[in-house]
Amino acid sequence: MTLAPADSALLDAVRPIRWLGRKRAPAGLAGHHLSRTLGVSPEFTEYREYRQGDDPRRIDWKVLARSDRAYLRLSNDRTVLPTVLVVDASGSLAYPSQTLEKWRHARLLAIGLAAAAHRAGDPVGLLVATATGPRRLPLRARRGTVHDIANALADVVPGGSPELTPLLRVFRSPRRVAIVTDLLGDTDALLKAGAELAASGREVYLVHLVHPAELDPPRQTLLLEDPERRDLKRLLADATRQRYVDTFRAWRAAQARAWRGAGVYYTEVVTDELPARSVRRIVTPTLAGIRR
Amino acid sequence: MIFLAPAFLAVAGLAALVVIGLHFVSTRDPESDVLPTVRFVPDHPVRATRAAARFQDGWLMLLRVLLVLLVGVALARPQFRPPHRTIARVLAVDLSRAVGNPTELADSAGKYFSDATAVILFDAAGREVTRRPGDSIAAFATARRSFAAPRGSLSAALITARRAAARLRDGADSLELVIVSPFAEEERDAATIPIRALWPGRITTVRVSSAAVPSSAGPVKVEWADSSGSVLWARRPRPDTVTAVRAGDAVMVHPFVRRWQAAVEADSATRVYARWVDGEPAAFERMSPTQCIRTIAIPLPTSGDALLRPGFQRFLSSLVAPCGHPMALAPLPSSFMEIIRGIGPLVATGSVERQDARATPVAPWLLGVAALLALVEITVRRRHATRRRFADERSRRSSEAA
Repeated sequence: MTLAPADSALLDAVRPIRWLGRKRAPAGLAGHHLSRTLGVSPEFTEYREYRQGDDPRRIDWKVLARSDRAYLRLSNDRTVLPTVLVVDASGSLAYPSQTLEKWRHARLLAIGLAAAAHRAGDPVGLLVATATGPRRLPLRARRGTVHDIANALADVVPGGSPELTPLLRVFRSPRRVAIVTDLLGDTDALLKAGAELAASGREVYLVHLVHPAELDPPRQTLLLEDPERRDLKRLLADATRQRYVDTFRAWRAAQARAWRGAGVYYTEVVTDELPARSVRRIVTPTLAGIRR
Repeated sequence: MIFLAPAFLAVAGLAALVVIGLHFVSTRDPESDVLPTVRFVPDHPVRATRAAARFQDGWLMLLRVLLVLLVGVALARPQFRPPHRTIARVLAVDLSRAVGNPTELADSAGKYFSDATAVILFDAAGREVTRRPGDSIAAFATARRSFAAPRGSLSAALITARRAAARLRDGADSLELVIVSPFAEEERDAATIPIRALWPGRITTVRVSSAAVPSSAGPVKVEWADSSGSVLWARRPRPDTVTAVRAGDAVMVHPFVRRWQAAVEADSATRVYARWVDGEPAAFERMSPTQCIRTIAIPLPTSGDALLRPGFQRFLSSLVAPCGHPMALAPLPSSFMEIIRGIGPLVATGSVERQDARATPVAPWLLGVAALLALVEITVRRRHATRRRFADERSRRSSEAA
């Protein structure tokens, strides 16, 4: 299956981006990410005195010959970070209803992150929370994984009110989890689960999607309806507009504090930003938290 | 057509204008849209309907205006103006027992029938007849053979004539009242002269011969139900106690033990002479060719204080009073007749008050049509609302599909 032009353009744009881990990962298959353990690779890092129990074969015999002291030659070990992308496909992502701009941006972000992770040699998996149940692609590092993810996301129609939290417990092995959501669903439970993952040593990324119309709603009197709860209707008028903007801003700030406080890498993404730039912000530690 | 309360027409006109104005002022609900973050919009009531000068729902407006105008016209009490006459004649014909010769009465009244605008037949009470008053007089001639005809009352005739005049005032310049009656002594009472004074003009009187005092009037033969074995009474299965009985004008209050009940009903030859307090007959009076027999089913007390009461004596006297009502059929004196006739011109209609309290015959029909329109309005309004709701739903679906 061929990719859509927008997907291809995105993959071209994120080609130079590699999604490197921010923490030292536990030992595993050889990869591009620094491991917590120091191994025996040719890349020298430091010496350490021999302790009882060390493998004698790792003693640097030249140093022993010169100084008559037994040292071990240590080097950085590099491993892989199995990455799972958890994508929210609830009704609130199907906005605006005519263009589905929010969902398209979420999809492109997921593809871009998958490409960045795959380029670092990591196996990538996908979990999509849809109204008809979760869609799942297992962790794979082979070629074509990003295409599989793009095609899987192309079939998804956002709608309903699916929960994200149960999806975080589907994969046991991933060392990195990226959640793409607008946080308008099971937010509290998701925060708790994300905090647990972060506390267990995993890298957890939260990509908070916001549409410009949510930040700055139209300046006309509107009877607004929640796409996930049709019974929730509020009137947006001049008298209530500013209070909405203030409340929403305060809520987003509170969410950012809460997620970051839980050890999660939180990034707010507005959908009018280029997807490739959003991907670069998310994966680059120095740019994370900076909107543009 | 004239309106007795034209102010309601003005009110209805104003209300119709308001209805039309309201149809030009339409309220519009705000447009609806979807926003995922709607939960952050403060939830407090905000007035969002907007008024717009746009005409809408023409048929509904027409129905409502028609409804308001119909109610207004009905409340304004419309009356069709009768054909205008110079003189409207009110003919009052006496059908009481004082009339001696019904044929003569019919002949005398017939002279005025053709020109009469309203015909009143009266005895103890007056009633205006609208269809074939001659039939009533013929029926009177038949009924007159019995002694069941009531006593006449000139006062009743004058009051009924005054009511008719109030109705006829808008269709004539003057009103003439013609009374055909024997003008017997018993037909006047204390109110006759004051009531006559309320008729502000002269009255034409046509005197017919009065009846002779019936030969049956005289001593009565009294029979007691206990001893006579009369066919008029049947023994009561279970005697009861009644506290009072009335015979003529006399009333006796006493715990009577009632043992008899009426076995027949009163007819032209038999009339109830006394009644118990609960309305059941207590005495009958029958006219035979030779005499008047009064059959009494009242167990009169034979001892006790009741016998000493003056009321008992009066009651006893009434039980043995002569048959038939006391009749005073002597002609009224000429001085009284002059008062009845009066002097001066006919009654000018302007001096007669309009009868405001009378319901106009058109009003109920108008109100009925208005009620029908109200039902139609409800149906049309619901249909409009349903159509509008479907249109909104369709537009919402089409926008969602797009």
